[in-house]
Amino acid sequence: MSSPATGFCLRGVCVEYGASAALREVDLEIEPGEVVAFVGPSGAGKSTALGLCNGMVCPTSGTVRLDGEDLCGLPAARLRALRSRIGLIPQELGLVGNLRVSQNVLAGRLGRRGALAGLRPLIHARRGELTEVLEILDRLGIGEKLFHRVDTLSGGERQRVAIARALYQEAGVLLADEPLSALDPARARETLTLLLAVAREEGLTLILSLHDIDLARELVGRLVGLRAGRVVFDRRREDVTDDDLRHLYQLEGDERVG
Amino acid sequence: MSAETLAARPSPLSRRGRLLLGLLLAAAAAWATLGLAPSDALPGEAGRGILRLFLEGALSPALTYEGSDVPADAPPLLARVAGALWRTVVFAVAGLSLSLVIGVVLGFLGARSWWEDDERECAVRARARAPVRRVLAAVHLSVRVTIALMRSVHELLWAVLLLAALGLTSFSAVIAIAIPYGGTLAKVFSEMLDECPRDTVRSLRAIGARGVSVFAWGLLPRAMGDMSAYAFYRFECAVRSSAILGFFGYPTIGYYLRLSAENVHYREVWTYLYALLALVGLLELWSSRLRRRVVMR
Repeated sequence: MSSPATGFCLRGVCVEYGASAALREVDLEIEPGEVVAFVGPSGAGKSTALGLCNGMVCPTSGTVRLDGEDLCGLPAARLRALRSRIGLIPQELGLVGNLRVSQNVLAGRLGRRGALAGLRPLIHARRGELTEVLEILDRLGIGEKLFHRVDTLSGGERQRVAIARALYQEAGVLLADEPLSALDPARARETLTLLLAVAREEGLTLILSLHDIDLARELVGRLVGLRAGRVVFDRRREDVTDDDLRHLYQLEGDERVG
Repeated sequence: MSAETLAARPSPLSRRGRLLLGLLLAAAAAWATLGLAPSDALPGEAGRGILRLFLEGALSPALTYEGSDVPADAPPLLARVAGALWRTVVFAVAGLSLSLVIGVVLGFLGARSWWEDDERECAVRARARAPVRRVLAAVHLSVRVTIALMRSVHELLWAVLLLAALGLTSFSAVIAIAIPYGGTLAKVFSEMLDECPRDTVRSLRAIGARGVSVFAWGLLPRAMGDMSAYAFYRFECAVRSSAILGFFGYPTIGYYLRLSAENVHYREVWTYLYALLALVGLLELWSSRLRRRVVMR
């Protein structure tokens, strides 16, 4: 059972790191249960845009609302509560190699536990909790790895552990930052298909950042093209034209020389 | 242009040479200040006799007591050696267990990685959390100072202080080991925790985990291998410290070593020395094996 799906509303969002702008004047609406991919060249602001959705990045100006609630400036406890409903698969996965798969997945619910109650599953997981974890792992096809250490797993298996952690979290939203970057083409397709299936079955809002534009165009419902921090297009995948892509990936004059 | 670049080639001797010269001068100055002459290393007539006696002892360590003034109720020498070794280890274990508790607690408080600013965090929230961070930063600083104080005094000096304060009790010996060792463990543990990759910390924070959970799940397990390896190494050190504490009268092997040396029973001294060497060697073997298992696993 996941939390009800969550929608996002970005209005006039700018994000600046020091003097450089990572995002400029971004307006975006994401409906609950929608699947959206940020696409664009490196440094376009895809990861920053994802970071806005769980408050890991705050806008320099503009607002980010999650089901109507402004994410910036929330009290710490409220922000933690909101974040506990937002699953995240970071690019580097954020798994602990010398813990077991079961423990890494159990970490998914830490946002909902108190400081001390959060320690118990690390030391002693209840049978019910393990059964639940095993069901999720089985669904992702790595059930037999339940008690393996994560650093003994392959890249693809680790990716699944990170997905399992997000599913165990019972979030309403799943954010995935470049989830395919470390995978070979066949595995990338398989993983994206899996993510989409999971999101559909659970009714999750799924927001991804993707490098592989062809795969995104083939599988993801809505694409938001980012270039130098600006939204250059925001369309259903069938409406994305080759012109859009040329514009998205065209090198700047000085970049071409460099 | 390129000729200028070439001309600017740094001379290999310029910096390193100066450093080396400085070190040599410092060494010469120290020897001159102490008036050391190589001939001082040779013992005098009486000294040579003692030295010969001592070295002969190395070839024939005692299996029974030397001399005739042995109390009737004294255990056999080898039983005494075994008992002294045992107590040496027990003191080391007791001292190290206390210092591990100190090391983990102060290591946690002395690390910054579980509460430090995320540089991308928004200004509003950073302002809201500023008072908490100020408190944490103050705690952090005072813990670092405490750690430095604990470490800067050697365990033998702590023993002198504690002997005066508590008397010759087992507890004073254990505390004398636990304070400097706790400080050292805390320093190294906190650095290991802060050097852990932060990706797990970030991803756990991103799903709403609290500081304590972030520490226990994201940092501690990562640093655990290195921390245990270092703790094993410190255990060997603690055994040596515990042995030396015997010179103050605690019933570890150092106590008997000193007694035998004072009675010029050098063959007994060698028995104790060999026993201590064997113990340290065994521990080294055992701990290097454990270390390999913990770190490589």
